[in-house]
Amino acid sequence: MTAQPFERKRYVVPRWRPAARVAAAGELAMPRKPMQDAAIPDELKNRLETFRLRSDVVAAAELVETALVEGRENEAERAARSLAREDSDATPLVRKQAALLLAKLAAEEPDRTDIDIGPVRRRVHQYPQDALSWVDLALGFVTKGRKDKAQRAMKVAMQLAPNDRHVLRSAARMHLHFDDPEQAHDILKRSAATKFDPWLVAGEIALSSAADRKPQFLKIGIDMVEDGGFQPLHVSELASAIGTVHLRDGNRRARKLFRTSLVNPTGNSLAQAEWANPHLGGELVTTKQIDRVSDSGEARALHAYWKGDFEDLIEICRQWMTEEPFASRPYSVGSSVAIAIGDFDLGLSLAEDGLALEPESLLFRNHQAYALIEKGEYVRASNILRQALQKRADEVSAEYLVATASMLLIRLGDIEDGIAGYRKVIAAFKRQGNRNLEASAAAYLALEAARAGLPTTSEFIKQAEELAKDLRYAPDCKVVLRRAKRWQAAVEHRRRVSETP
Amino acid sequence: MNAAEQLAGLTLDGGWKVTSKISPVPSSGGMFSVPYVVKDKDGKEHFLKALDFSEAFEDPDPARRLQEMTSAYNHERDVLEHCKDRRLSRVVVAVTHGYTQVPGFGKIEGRVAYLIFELAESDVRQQVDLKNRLDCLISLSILSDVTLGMMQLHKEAIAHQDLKPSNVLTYGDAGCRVGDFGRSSRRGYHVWMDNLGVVGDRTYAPPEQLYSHFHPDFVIRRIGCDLYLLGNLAAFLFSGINITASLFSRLDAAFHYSRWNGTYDQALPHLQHAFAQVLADLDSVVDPLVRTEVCAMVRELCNPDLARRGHRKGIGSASQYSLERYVSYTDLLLKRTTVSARLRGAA
Repeated sequence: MTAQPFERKRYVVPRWRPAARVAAAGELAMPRKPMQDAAIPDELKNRLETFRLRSDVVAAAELVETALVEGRENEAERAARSLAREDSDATPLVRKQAALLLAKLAAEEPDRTDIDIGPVRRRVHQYPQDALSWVDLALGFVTKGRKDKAQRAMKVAMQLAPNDRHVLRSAARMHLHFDDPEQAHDILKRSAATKFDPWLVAGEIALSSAADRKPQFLKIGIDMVEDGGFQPLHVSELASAIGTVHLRDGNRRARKLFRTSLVNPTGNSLAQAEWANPHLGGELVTTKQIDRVSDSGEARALHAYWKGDFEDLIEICRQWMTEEPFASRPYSVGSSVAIAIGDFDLGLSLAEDGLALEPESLLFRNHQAYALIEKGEYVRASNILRQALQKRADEVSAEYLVATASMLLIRLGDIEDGIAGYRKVIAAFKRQGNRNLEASAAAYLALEAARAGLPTTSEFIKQAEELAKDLRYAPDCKVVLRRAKRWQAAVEHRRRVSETP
Repeated sequence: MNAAEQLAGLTLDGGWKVTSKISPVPSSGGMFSVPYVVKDKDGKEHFLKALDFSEAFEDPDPARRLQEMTSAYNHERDVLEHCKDRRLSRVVVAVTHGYTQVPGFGKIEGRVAYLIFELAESDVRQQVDLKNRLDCLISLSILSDVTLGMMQLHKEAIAHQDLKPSNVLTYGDAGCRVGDFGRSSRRGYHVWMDNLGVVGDRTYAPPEQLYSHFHPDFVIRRIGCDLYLLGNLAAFLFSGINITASLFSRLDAAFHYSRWNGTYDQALPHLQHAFAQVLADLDSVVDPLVRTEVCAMVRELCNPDLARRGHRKGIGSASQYSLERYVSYTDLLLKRTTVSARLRGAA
């Protein structure tokens, strides 16, 4: 069996994306009320007048410069167009400046490609005081699995800008990625900037849960959400983080806080609300909301998952991978879903890509072994499972591996041991109180039974259906059961054909 | 029509003959003045700046405005007088100054104050046409003269605060000089402009002023501003762009000072990020002959962080905001580049 695509626990831990993308999403802003004075400044007025009198390169360039400095780019659109034209004889940088002004007017989205280490490294070499580029460099290194280099780059960023929101959140996220939630939490807990910044308080609360600690700034966070005077986007993740704490504690205020988080959500708070759906017993997030928010791949994936839309889910995972290139979760969800729908080549390749990011992951080894068994590569699968089972696994991962090993036994003809292995796994999940996984393991057993043409197939299917009956949020179980029934029908059909004289 | 506009044809004290009015080019920073060409007794042309106080009477508070204008004029005249006495070679000083009574006007509104300067050939803004960059050697020579001029001013505890291409005047073979002290500030002397957030042209202003981040110390606030403006001029000479505008072209709109509610320190990492991109752009266009040196100079002088602005060897020391190192540096660079250019030409 595969792992459950989405984990039972999720926290609104800070996301880590290239600085330009975070800025474009408005997550680094500290907005003030719009200025009342709408009058055009005198300097801009003078330059507009000069450009009106003589529309030459100098007048156009000066107007573009003043408009950029005054933040009134629309006043210089015509001048910028005249400079950016192909036949313009302005110097290259004057033309580039005009093109940048036009790009601002068009509100162009920043480049969504991965961080390319080479150019970022050159930039920090040329200008080492650029803390945000050091953070981008660290992100590039993390994506390539270069832990030491990433930590060194992040250390420089922290020294240059120890109170910057993006630097602090990224540093905390990096340590969490390196399985050090305590260090991640310490960074935000100890920063002098945290208590004034809802984004940092949100991170502190979320990371305290990840580190199994008490949040330090919960009260400050509640005050910020209730009466902090912050715009909805800036308390979205904070409301979500506090809502998650309340949800865990069984506090009824959780639903209200999740609703607050969705007034102007981020991709992260949207994903958290999607994750909370089964816990709050109702659909909080609409498709429209997801479409409006950038970097909402994870929320989109959860949305498609709850709907059982597994074909689309693969494509959504690909989008999610570009949003968080260092994160292994899009790969674990993708490989799990690909295997559930029977696309084993894709499942194998996603599991191997996930292993490149997280070489020690038992989850990916399990998916790799499962896909190899399906492809008939039993020896390779057996080796992977043996090595994985020797490692110390948490109880859930160990059960996945046992289930997949049982599947291999069934494929090798050792039906009884295989079924016994699956039954043990089902019983273990039942003991853990994990009904979703219990139903899922039963569905995978039914699938194997159907595939092997066992006479007890209907019984297994019925048992799995019984377990999944009351589960509103177990789409993977239902998909696997559908496949089991198709196999059962196909095997029955083949048997009838072969029995026909 | 006011009296300051009616000087053409008049003969002033000392035999100065006002020959023609220069059509003003709309630009920032030009304070209530009307420009003329005047001739001395020998027929040599000079530049006259007539102060026009008439706009004060259109102000809702004419008395206050008039006080501001007169104090600004007195300040500029005093700075020019001070510089004249010190014989600063790279600073434009007034040849003379005085008052004249314009016929047909009353005793108060017809009284016009003026300053007379040596007539420059042109200014740097007009020389760099943004189509063809100036020759690397000419640019270096201008930069060297202006750096020296700024250092001469700083030695007199005067901060220019409005250094920009149009305020660098060229005098043919005599090189360049820094002009227009209308926005300058003197240590120990207070003038109403000192209370302004952005004293000079906003388009060229250092970012800390636009974000209303003011250091109480004269040297850090005002000489630091001059350092930025000098680096900005260097960038303009070698690439045609202005660092302040380039910074904002690279900065996400959310961090623009008009939308920013945080402190300058909180905006600084984003400004540094934008500055890094501006430097990369600059690096791609500056003549390879002087690329390393000019880019280093811009990087040091235009650093958005005031605490890190200045020559790398002086950071944190008493000489951090001194231009002495840059004077030697630009002078040496000019000589070295002249030799290299000759060799390149010979090859």
